[in-house]
Amino acid sequence: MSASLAKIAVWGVSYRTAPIEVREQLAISETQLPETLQMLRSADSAPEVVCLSTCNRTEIYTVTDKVHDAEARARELFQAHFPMLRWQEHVYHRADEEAVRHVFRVASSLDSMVLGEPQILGQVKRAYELAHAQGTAGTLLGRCFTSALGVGKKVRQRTELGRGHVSVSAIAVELVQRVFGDLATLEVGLVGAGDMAEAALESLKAYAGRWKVTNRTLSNAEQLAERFQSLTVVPWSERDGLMQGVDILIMSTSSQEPLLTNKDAKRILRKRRYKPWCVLDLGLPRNVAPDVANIDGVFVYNVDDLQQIALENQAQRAEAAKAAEAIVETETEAFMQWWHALSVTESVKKFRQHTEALVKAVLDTHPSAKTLGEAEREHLAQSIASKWLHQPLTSLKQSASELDAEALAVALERLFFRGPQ
Amino acid sequence: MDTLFLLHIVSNIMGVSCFLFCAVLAIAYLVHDRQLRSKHLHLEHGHILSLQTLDRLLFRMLLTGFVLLTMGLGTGMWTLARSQSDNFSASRAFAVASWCVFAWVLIARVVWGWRGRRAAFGMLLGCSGVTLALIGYFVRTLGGQ
Repeated sequence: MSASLAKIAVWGVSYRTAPIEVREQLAISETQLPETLQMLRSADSAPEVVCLSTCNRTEIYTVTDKVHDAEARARELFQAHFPMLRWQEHVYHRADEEAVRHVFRVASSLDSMVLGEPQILGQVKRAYELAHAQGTAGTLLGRCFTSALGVGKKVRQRTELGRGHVSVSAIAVELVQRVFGDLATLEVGLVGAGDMAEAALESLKAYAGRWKVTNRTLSNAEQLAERFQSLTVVPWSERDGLMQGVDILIMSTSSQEPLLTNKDAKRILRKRRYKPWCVLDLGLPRNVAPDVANIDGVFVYNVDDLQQIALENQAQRAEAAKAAEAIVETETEAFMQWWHALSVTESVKKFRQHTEALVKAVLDTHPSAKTLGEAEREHLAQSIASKWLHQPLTSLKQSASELDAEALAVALERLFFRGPQ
Repeated sequence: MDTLFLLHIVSNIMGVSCFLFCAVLAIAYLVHDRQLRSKHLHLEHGHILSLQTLDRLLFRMLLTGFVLLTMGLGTGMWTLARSQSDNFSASRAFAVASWCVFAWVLIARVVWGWRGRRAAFGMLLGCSGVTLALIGYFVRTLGGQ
């Protein structure tokens, strides 16, 4: 296939175009990927294929000069997994510069559901490594994906896109870590055993060591303890002792009055010898009196505080996305220049071989060159051709990145091989 | 040079260095504490020292500085007594006042467990006293007294 006619194309479904029930049908597991790559690759119509499959997207990247053939294969694959797929509605298609920009944006996490999430870069890398191992990633997609990985890293290093958490649970963990450092040796107390307590337990249990729970209705606390191991149940009457003994207190009761007042907090803090105390108030109405937050050594965060930080971080990421888009644009342009230069490479190679053959033919018939051996004549022919072609070929490659490379390749072909048509 | 006087100089220099580091830690503690309370912080993935670690470092540095300052004051008073000089100087008064503040911060920490902003402000107060003592000393030395 001539490089000058090759196209990079992508077909895919993502969270933007398809609901989860469609995406989960189209997800391709890592064990299925080698087979899928081989099925999609075709020596004449799609010599290069890379498949990216994550929980939010399934995309097929190909290099092809027969877009319809490649599309037919992609359609075949998608509809084998999900026969009811409405192709036009769910599947998007990008080609050439748009496809390159798309993969750069994906790797930079600009196209992710959670803007700036870090996992996507590793997933793009894995997709490329798998295709490379299967031999389905060639010069063009190879360069395209390695560039995409470079763009992803550059965006993470040079912009604020990946900084700051945007999920409430990750923010809670980060805040607590900023107070205590390592959480492994800390004790966490839950006052309340409802859904919020369970969600907090789910998010934090991997970090903190020992857990205690108390609830007005003790059976609910016991039920929670059954679901989560290493959770000690404390009777409601002993909740003061629980509050005093733990470093992190999570309150999530439906009490209409604050369960922790300023006076209580000061008393508890005195008994704790003023060791830092983190209180996450997930109750609604609030379980902690507002003035508790002013006490030295007590750090109180309620649902609104956590959501506020999440919103601010999201806004900062959105701002950083503008800088990231600029990087993607610059890198797309650089890639397109390289690609244009590549498209004349084959013509240049042919032109060089043609010139060498001509010089060699002259040398073979020239009387004074007959004293030279075959190898010497060949070497001489290569040297003359190299010196003769150096300047024009350098200029040609440079022009290819600025001008219409395909037109230059055609002009070269016509001038030296086919003549005017 | 007299060994006692040398000890006085060395322990004072080392003590002042410890207190300068303490002041930096105390400011870092107060800034960090303020950020955690402001609830508008931009959380970043990074290795920022936790409040508890800062507090621990602050206490250890204070203890080291206090021992050195005590040695510095003790040897200074001994040298002064030997020279039978009863000159009052502001720098000595500031040094003794700082020693008292640091002693109070340490006692409060050991007896009642005081830490956090209160301890950091106490530290900064003591460090200001040490700085004034140092300034007084240089003024006196340069003034040829």
